[in-house]
Amino acid sequence: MLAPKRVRYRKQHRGRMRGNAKGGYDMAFGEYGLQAVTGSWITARQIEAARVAMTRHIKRGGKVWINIFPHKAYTKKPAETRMGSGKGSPEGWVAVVKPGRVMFELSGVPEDVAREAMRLAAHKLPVKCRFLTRDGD
Amino acid sequence: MADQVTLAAEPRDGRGKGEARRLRRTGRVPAIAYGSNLDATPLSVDSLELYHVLHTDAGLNALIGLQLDGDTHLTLARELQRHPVRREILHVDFVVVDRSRKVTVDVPLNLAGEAPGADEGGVIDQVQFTVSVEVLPLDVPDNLSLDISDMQVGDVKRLGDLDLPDGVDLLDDPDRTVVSVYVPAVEVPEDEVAEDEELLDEALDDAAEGEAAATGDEAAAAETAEAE
Repeated sequence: MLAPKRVRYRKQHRGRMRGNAKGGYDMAFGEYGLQAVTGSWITARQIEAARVAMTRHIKRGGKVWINIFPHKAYTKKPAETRMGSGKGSPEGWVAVVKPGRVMFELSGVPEDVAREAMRLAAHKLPVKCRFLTRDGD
Repeated sequence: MADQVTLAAEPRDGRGKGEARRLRRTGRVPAIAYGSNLDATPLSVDSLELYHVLHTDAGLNALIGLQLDGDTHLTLARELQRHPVRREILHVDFVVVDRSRKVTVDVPLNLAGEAPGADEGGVIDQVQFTVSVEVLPLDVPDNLSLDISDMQVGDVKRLGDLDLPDGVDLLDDPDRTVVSVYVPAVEVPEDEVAEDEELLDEALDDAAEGEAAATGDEAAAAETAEAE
């Protein structure tokens, strides 16, 4: 799964997630893309599950780009713990995805295959998604 | 070659996001025109007309006759700002061009023909989708096509292989790869896919256990540090 190699601080503030994507809302590499229409934290595990679903459907024929990376650590308190006593322990890594962000790109496969692969991948993600093509604008 | 299309524009009085948003609510797009013999002039155009102008065969390189204050200026649309989600155009620059001076444009690059390498199990990988060229405004090609009907597995075509029309100068590096035909990873049979699935589940479980153990150690370490 994707995770930073080394970070300066183990725990981060959660932050706010207002507005739309400020960059990464156009396709940069492939012929087809999967764009987030809503925003959410996407965990490294969800990214991996989407990637596996996509590559499995295209039978490893095409080329996949993952344009998001889980830079942000999230923490969780152990079960049945009383509130207080400081912040919980790091639990995993997430990517902050805002509406408009093109998360995955794909090329080297026909459009119907790409569309189905992206549909399967979208089901692994906690955001509403839209399928993009190069000539879609 | 690009046909000229006309677009009516109105001068824009107000400035800033308030005025821009008011215009967008009324179905207009804030824009600015500048270029040879024209100082920067804020204006607005109808969003539907703009949509039709930019969706001709010439695409984003359509030669636009911008009608402003009784004059018609020959322009190209540049610096299109789009909404990240809705994809509608938020703002556009119209650059006034001179018929006799070459302009720099990005022309879409299409592949023509069927590569024999694809029938042999190769995958066609297009890397470059536009090409930057210098050309007279009236000679801007709608698109450029690269013939791939002779490409076998392992072949690569570069920008230098393009047959450019007369008067079109390539600005990008001619050695830049446009398309290649490569052999994909071996297709995995269904039973192996099932095995893969099991392996992935196991790996995810292991990772979860490992992470739980690591977080447990960290928690214990933190407790001892606090005790000290």
